[in-house]
Parts: sequence; C-alpha cells; structure tokens
Amino acid sequence: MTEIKRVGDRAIVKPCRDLVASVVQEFKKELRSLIAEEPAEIAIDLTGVDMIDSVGLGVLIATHNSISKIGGKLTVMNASENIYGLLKTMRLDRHFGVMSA
Amino acid sequence: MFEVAEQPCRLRIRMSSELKGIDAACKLIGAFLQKLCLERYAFDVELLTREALINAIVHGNGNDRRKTIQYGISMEGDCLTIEVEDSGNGFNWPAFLQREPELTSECGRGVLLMREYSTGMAYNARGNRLVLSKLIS
Repeated sequence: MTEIKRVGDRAIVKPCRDLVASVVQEFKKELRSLIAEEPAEIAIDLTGVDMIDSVGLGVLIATHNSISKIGGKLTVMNASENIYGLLKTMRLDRHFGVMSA
Repeated sequence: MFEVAEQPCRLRIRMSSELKGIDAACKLIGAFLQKLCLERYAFDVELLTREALINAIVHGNGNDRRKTIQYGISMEGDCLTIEVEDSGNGFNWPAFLQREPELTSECGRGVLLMREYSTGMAYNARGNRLVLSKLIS
C-alpha cells in the first residue's frame, strides 16, 4: 500500500493510510528497510492520512532517530490541518521539518 | 467480541482487547458525532478514544484478547464524556501523570496527548477506569 519514490538520494514515502496502532507496525518495517539504504532524506507525504495516534508518532520519532544517526534527515509534508496541529502540539516540529498541506 | 448499544446521546461498546477493535469503534463514534452535529470535534474525540483504548488494551489488559473493555461516550449539556474501563489491575496513575516523555522517546505520549486534547481527565483510585471530558463551545 505504501508508495515509495526515490529521487537521487532522497526517498519520498506515502503511507496512504492512517498511522495508527492497529496498522502502523508494517509501515515501521518499510521505513526500517528504507533507512538501511542510507538515504540523505526521507520525506513522508501525509496526503490521505487523517489520523496519527501516539504509536504512529512513535514511528515518526523512531525514523527521525535512526536517520539522524546516519547523517540523514526526516521531513513530513502535506500534513492536514489537524495533524499539523498535533505535531506542533507535541513539539515534534522541533525535531524534524513539518509542512502542512 | 464487539457489542454496541446506542441511544440518541449515548454510545456504549463492549469489546475484546484487540487493536483492530479501536478502528471499528472509531467508525461508530464518527457516525455518532455526525448525528449530534459535532463533526468539528471528530478528530479530537477520535484521538482521545484511540489513546484511551490503546492504554486499556496494551497496558490495562496486557493484550489479552480474553479480557474485555467497556467504552462509553455521551453528550450531556455542553460536555462530551468518554469513559474507558479495562479488566486489569490498574496502575499507579498519580506517579505516571507527572511524567513527561523525553523529546526523542519513541513511546509514552498517550497520556500527554489525552491531557492536551481533553478538558478534563480522571482515573478511579485503582487506575483501571478513565473518564475524559471535552467541553463543547
């Protein structure tokens, strides 16, 4: 279900589903495989994502932590108004770039 | 198990401890809010519901499918109330509520999220029943 597009050393990842406890572990595995390729940047495109819970936030933070260790960066783009607000409320915009839709 | 009882201003769900049950519950809650013309609170209420149910399933009932969870949402006056009760032994919630997750910690944000998105949050003494309130303006 996840769409992954590689542009140079940048990977754009579109989960195409909500990042919630019941389904997010599969997305986490996909991100882990991607990090193993050591991209300079992973950009997660949240188009079509309506909800992220604390488990989903944990996956974003884990991705940020892992890619930072290898000198890369995480960005999150096309966040809906609600999700943009959630990421700001949890101060995650201090860790990685967050762009609204 | 997934049992539902609905009245005009009250929805009750009894479910087994499975994460997929949260998604089913959230669909019903979205429809319940729509009937009450409260769609603008749908994101906040769904988030509160998800966090309360995750804690009940994972921490309260230890992911034991045989253990049940009681969920209720009701609208009275200008307040939405969410109640979640698990079958576990509870926890030392006064100590837990004071914790702030480390900025780079990958878990432990559920309670913080509920604090941020609710108007009020209270556990029973045992710590296996949570009541969240959300004022409607």
